[in-house]
This record gives sequence, C-alpha cells and structure tokens, in this order.
Amino acid sequence: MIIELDSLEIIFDSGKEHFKVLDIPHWQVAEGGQVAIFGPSGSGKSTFLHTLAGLLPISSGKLSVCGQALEGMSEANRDQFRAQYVGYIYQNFNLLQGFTALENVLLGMTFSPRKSDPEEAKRLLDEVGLSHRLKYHPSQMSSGEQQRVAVARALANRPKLLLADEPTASLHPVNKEDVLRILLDICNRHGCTLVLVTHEREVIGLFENTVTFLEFNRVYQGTVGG
Amino acid sequence: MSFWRIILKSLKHHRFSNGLAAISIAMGVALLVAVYSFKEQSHNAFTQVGLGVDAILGPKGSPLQIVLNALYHLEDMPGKIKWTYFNEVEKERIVAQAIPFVVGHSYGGFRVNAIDPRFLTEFEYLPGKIFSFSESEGGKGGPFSAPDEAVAGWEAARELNIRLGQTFNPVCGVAEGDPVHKKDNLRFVGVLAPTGTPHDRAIYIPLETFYGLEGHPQETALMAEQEEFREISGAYIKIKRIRGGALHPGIQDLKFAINQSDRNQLVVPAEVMPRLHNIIGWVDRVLIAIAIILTALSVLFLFFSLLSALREMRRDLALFRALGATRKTVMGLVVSEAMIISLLGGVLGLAFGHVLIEMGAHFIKVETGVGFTAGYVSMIDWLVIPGAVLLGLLAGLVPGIQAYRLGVLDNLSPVS
Repeated sequence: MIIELDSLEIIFDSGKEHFKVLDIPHWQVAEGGQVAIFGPSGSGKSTFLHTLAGLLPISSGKLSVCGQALEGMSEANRDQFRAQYVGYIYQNFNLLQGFTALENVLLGMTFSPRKSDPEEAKRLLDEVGLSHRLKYHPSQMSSGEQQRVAVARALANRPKLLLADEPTASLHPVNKEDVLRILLDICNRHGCTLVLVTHEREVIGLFENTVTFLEFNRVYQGTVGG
Repeated sequence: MSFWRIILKSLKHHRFSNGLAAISIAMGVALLVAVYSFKEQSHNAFTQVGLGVDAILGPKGSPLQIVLNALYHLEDMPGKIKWTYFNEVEKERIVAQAIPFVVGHSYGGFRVNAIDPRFLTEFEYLPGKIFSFSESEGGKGGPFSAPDEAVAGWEAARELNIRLGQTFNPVCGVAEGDPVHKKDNLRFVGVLAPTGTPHDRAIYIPLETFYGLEGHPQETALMAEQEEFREISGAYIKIKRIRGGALHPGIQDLKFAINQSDRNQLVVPAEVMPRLHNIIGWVDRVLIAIAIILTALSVLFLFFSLLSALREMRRDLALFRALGATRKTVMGLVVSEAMIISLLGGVLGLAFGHVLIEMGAHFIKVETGVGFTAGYVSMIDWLVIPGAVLLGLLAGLVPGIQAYRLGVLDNLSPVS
C-alpha cells in the first residue's frame, strides 16, 4: 500500500478553539491507484491532502505514505519526504511568475535529492504538450497551459504519489477534461499513484475509484485502487 | 535549478529596489573608502620623514608655519635668519648636511625658492632618493650652474608648460598683484623628474641670484657681497645617524640651544606635523561619521526593501516550502539575497571610492603638490568586502527570520 492510515486525527488548536478537522479510522490506497476524493467545500478534502503531503502534522493516529511513517516525523524530515516522494498540483497552479515554464519545472527538481536535469524537464513539458512554450512565462500562457506546466512540475521529482487539489477548478470547461486526461495518462505512464480532490461531479466520472467526504469532519473507511 | 540561480532570478525580479539598495550602499562605502584613503595617504605624505628633512632652521614664529612654508610651499616664512648663524649651525658636529634657502618669490602661482645648488644634486628628498633630471623618469635638462638659470619642479613645469630655454621674470612676493622683477630674465635649464612630493610644485633658482635681483633694497644687494649682512629664510638640516639609522640624540640639545636665541629656532617636522593632524583630524572624523551614517542608512534601506520584497515573495517562498525546501533553506535564500546585494554595493563602493580618490588626487596634487594615488590600499579596503557581507547578513536577518516563520498553507492555494 502506498497510503495506509489508522485512527488518523487532525485537530486544529488555536489556543481558544480546539476542533477536529479529520477523523479517519482506517484507509489505504494501493500503489498505482487513481482516486478521486469528492466532497463539498469545507469538508476537509484539502486538509486531508495536505496531511498526506506532510504539510500538516498529525495530531494522533498512524499514517504511512510511500513507506514513510509521517506520525512523529519532524517538519524538516517531512519537507525532505515531500521533496522525494510527493508531487503536488494546486487549484491556482502556483507557478512562479518570474520563471519560465522550463524553469518552473526545474524548480520541482531543485529541492529533491535528484539533480536538476533540463533535458528531463523539457521531456516532461513535451509530454504535456508544451514543448513550444519552454521559455514562456506564466503570464504569457492560458490557464490550461499553466496547469499543464504545473502537472509537469509535479512530476519533476519523479514522485511515487501525485496529489492534485482541485486541479480543474480554475480552468475553462473546454480545458478541464483535457488537463484531467493528461493527468491520468501521465500518471499511468509514470506508474504514479494519483489522489485528486474535487467538488466537481463531472471530474469524478473519469475515475474508477471515488471516495466521498460527505461533510465536515465525516470519515470514510475502506480500501481503494490497485 | 541551483540555489544560486533561484537567488539570481529573485534579484532580477526585484532589480529596481535591489539596484537602488546596492547603489545606496555603494555611495556610503565609496565615501568611507575615499575618506580613509585620503586620511591615511595624507598622514603618510605629511610624515614622509619630513620629506627628507630632519629639521628646519628658521626664524622665530609658528613652527607649523615654518614647516608648511619650507616643506609644502604654503603660507609665508615669519622672518629671516642670519647667514653667520646658519654657518655656526652647519658646523655643529651632529649636522650632516645643511641646505640654505630663501623664499618669497613666485612665478605663475608657483613658489620660486632660491636655494643652495647641492639641493638639486646631493639632497635626499626621501631616504635614498635624490632629484633626477633623467628623461626616462620624466625629467629634462640639468641643474642650474649660472645665476640666471632656473629649474622647475615636475608639476610646476607641467602646469605652466615650461620648456627648456624658456625665460621668465620672477614675481617679488607670492600674492596676486605683487611687483615683477622685469629686468631679471631667468632661463629654465632643467625640469625635475616627478617625486610625488610638494617639491614638484616649486621653481628653484640659485641662492645668490636672490641677492642680485633688480628692485630689491640696497641692503639685499649688500648681502651678496658681505656675509655678515647676509640673511636667508631658513635651511634644511639633515642630522647624522647613529647605529640602526636613528637620529643622533644630540638633536634635542641642538634644538634647545638654538631655541634659546631670540631670533632663531630649530623645527623638527616629525614633532610638528602630528599637531597639524590634530587640527585637521576633526574634518576626517566628521567625514568618516557622515560616511558611516550614510552606509548605515543604506543598510536600513536594504532592510526595508527586503521586507517589502518579502511581502511579494511570500507565495513564492511558500511554494518552495511546498516543493520540499526546508525553513532553513528559504531563510538562506532571503539572507543570501541580502548578502549579495550588500556585497555588490560593497564592490561597487570600493571601485567608486577609488575613482573618487583618483579625481580628488588630481585636484589635491594641483593645489598642494602632495601626491595621492587611487592605487593606495587603505585599511578600510580590506574590511569593505567582509564588512559588506556582514552588513548584508544583519540586514537580511529579520526578513530571513520572517521567511523562516512563513506558513506554507497560509500563503498558497485556497482550501476546499
């Protein structure tokens, strides 16, 4: 299993307020799986994704991602874990405006243990159909192209797990399916496990495995993918 | 993509504010470099072992005035001394060489000093160095050998475009409007090779010529014939050395003995010049204070421009964190950026500072004859680069800490 969790709890404690954001008894995803997590805004989907990426500390329970136990792991080690094993795609692309498409992809390799490889970055951009946009800055590209650069960047560190947070929410309807198909196809080719969160029903239609976050602080239990 | 390339991109992205910060640091550093260099070089110039002179025999008056007049061709000599007295001093057992001179004339704004011919051929203007007329060294012609001949210092010759064989009429005095010795046509027969000392800014004529210049009172002409009436402005005195090259300790007794007289005194430049430094030292201190304040303000400017840039960079830094950069890495990015800007400012300041010295050196050379060089490396030059890096580190520390504390999720995509 590439993701395996037990009794996972994420609790936000601001001093005055103390509330449970996630409470998942058991969940696991097999390597190579493609899972869509569906649910309304505020149901904790992104928090769950952030937890899988090691961006949030675990309050209690056990979480193993790519064979790495994240519970009790220091923040610096979680940073390294993310750089080595995880690719992340954001709703609003989060490309650096001062960097070209190629440089944005190279950035995905910079903090990983891998050496920056411009040739591989070019190849990734070619895979997402942007070989003609290497030197373009984000402001010179359409939103669909920007998201494809973000896909290439997320794959730059050769991750075992690709996390996509509402990757099509900011896209024009024409581009949505295009980007999703590229994402699914590229994950298949790279043997990469995909966990995608969305609130769009039309997106989940492309996935064989879908789990639903019904509402805030509700849980899902089971095994998907494989 | 390397760590340094990311910094370079960020520097380029904020090039306007970064450029301004670097230039403001450069201005402060340039002023600091120039002031320190002038301070050290002037100190060296004014303590060049009294420009080859251990002591000056002169009339009673301000010792500083005597040094400035005799060695730097500034001010006026406060009076005259008797030739017979000079002869007595010259015979003192600790006196190695005594060169008499008479000041008070000028030409084209440069002092014309009547001087013993040994000054041009035997006198060491700096330890081990005598005047040269060699063309390969920039000189021309040779020393004077007749009463109507003259020799120009290198700077005077350059400024006045003096050619060998050219004649001139000395001015009786050093002020504008003083009378000219119209009937005395003196001829340039030599130009001294540059020495980098105030001697470059004077014109020299034979001592006896002074007494024969037309228009002087009859007593002056009498001085040429009868030694008991003869007067001179002063004399450069070289004292014998003892073991180890030190001055003969008898100089203090000689000074004491001469200073007992009503009309004469022995001035030791090495004792007088520090007083001049004390007088002008406050100017140095004010300039250095201004330079330090300017540098401090520019570092403050860098600090605020970094803070401002950090506000724009929050999302970028958060993204670096999301891509796996540690807190220390993003802090390192911000601090390194500050250090590079400061280093750039320091390097530019060092270069600007030396350009400033080169420009100022020309002006000072023309005005005083003291040679300053842009190639001089002062103590501050060695401190500029490490100092700039340190200041950059200080300026970047608070923005760096803010970058360290930056929350990833607060500055990235909206949560669903």
